[in-house]
Amino acid sequence: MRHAVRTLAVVTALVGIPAVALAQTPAAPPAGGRSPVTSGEYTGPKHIPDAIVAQNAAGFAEQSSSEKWKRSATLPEDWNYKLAPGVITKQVSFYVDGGTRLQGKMFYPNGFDAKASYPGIVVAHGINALAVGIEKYAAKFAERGMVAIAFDYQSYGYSDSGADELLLLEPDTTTDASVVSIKRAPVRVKRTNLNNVEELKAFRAAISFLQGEPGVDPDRIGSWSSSNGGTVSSALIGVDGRLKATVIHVMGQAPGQLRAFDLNGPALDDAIVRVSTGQGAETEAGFSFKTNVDNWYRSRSRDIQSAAMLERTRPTEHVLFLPAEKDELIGGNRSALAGSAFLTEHGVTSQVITFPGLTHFQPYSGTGFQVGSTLAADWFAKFLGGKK
Amino acid sequence: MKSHSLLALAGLAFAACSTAPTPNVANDAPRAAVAAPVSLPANVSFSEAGWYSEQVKLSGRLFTPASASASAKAPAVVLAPAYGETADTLDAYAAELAAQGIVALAVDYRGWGRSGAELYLGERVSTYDAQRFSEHTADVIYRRGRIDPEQQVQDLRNAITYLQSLPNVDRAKIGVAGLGLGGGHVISVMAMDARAKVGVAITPDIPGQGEEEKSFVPDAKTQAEMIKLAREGAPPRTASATKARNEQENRLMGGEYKPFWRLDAIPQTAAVRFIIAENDTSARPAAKELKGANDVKVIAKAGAKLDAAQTSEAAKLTAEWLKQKL
Repeated sequence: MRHAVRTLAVVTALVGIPAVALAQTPAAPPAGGRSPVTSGEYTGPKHIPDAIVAQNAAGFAEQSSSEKWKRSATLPEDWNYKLAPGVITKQVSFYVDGGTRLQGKMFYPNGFDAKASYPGIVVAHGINALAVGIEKYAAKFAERGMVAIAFDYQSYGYSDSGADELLLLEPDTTTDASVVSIKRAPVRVKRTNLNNVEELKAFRAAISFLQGEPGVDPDRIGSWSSSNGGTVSSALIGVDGRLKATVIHVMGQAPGQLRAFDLNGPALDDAIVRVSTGQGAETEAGFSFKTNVDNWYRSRSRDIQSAAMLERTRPTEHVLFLPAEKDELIGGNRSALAGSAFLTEHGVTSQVITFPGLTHFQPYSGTGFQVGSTLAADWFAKFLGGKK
Repeated sequence: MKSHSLLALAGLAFAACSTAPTPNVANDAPRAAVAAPVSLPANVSFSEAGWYSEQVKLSGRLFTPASASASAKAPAVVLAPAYGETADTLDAYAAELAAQGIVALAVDYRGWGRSGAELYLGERVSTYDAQRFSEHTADVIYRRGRIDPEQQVQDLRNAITYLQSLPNVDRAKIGVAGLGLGGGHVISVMAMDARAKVGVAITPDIPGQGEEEKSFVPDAKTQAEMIKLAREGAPPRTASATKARNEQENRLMGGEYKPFWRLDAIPQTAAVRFIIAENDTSARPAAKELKGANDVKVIAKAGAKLDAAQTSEAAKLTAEWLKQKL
């Protein structure tokens, strides 16, 4: 049944990051002159009020203790949301990396006027996940008067596979005599190609797309990212100076230096298989729904050097970290506190607000969602402004 | 398998919307055999090598000294061509290295020379994320002539892996050398990949010097181009459109490539030589950023492009450093 249109039962959103992946994240070398952050308590500047956390203490207490809210993944019920009155959505395509088509879902505020000027927010999903799991955040930002786009990374969900995921099953006879050729050919298409380098490119393409959307102010673009998307985002803020406000949800990033990584042992053996055949070993990844990904992602995903990119972030950026106090995958809020302190020292406006008592997958629903999405929208409203 | 009703909707996106192919591949004949080097030192053999880099089948020119064997493994070096150049421009370097007992592999980057094109789907195909791999016969757009510096760096790193797969190569003794922007790639490879222990950057182009190491802020014209590419950048289908796109994409990608900013990530244990023309202004500042062994050699009276005699001198200096440090 070739090319049958089928249900996408996919990789349903796994809005998290496996501990094994995080163990591969570059450990931050001791940062020059800074003492390690040991306290879980945020002592930096409060650019936006966080009173809403204390006001919801009962909700957090219930979410962190009740059996009903126990999570080792997000559940489909956590993805559901109701669009606020007047908010409208639209499916859009955009392009990355020479022409690979990605798909996003736009959210426009009530009474949207394309002749006015609104802030725009790019909403990015986590490791081996899908936008459908976190698009309720885009809906929330639209409810608060912003234009938002939630999108799937290359080779995930509605987005196409690109040059990195198309293996030609016959000899390539093209030559430099012709810069483009089109023909019918057998190809093997790979999906769920987990790769932070490609995710960074997709993120940037989504920014470009949103900058060109009628009614969006290209100079007031923000980003919200989930879990491993926050790791990508930590690199992004040092790579792309177009962003003016960033919210990193349930992730942190301690500072570090650029460094070369070695490749040896089983990882090298696997790399040799990859260069010999085009495909190396696979490993299962994900939480809410598991699929295979290439083992190679552990090596390749480090190449975004997210720890080192913090230092390249411009003072025109404003970065809010929203970590979970009891995050079992990244060790609570330590890396968020370290990253925020470092950014602050380097002239970047930054703040940490911690979800009290919650574990990694809890802030996506219940009180965690209500408070987290409100704080994120507050951050964008403060540093991007509203309709003009 | 559990099926989620929310996701049942998603299948709709995969309805194929096939567009008619533009069949401008007239000649489907296999490529001609690889051209042998004009001259080959005694006790050196030449062959074409093939390996995959991020799904693209790459080609390289492999020069192997007779002394290299499974019982007497040789050091090996990846050679990186300059901007818009192909592997065959580096024969003089590869031959000299092999004559000195080093396995040398000159790389054709993806989309160049004898390496495969970058592929794009010319029509939608239906895929299913839970089924990781699926085979399709579809309209495929083959693009050539793109220069994505970061992808070229990946091609070189995968070439290192290929060399490490050879039974006559010592996996622990890997070097990298390159010309022009390929010299900039030497910096990138060594800063990202600790396997590359010795490097030679020949008349290198190392962008980023003297610029503030901060995030990229496009000017108005560049930003407009980025927006247009994201919103209307389906793969081009005609030669003229593709040439224009290559020019634009190569300029944009090149503008963000800053290997100079990576110099301080090169490990202290790595050794780098710069071989430069007299009027070069970037190599000495680059050398100052390095923590480990390095030196700078000047080719007298050389301009940006080396002539045959200067190339021969540069090849000897390249082989000398690699042999000494590997």
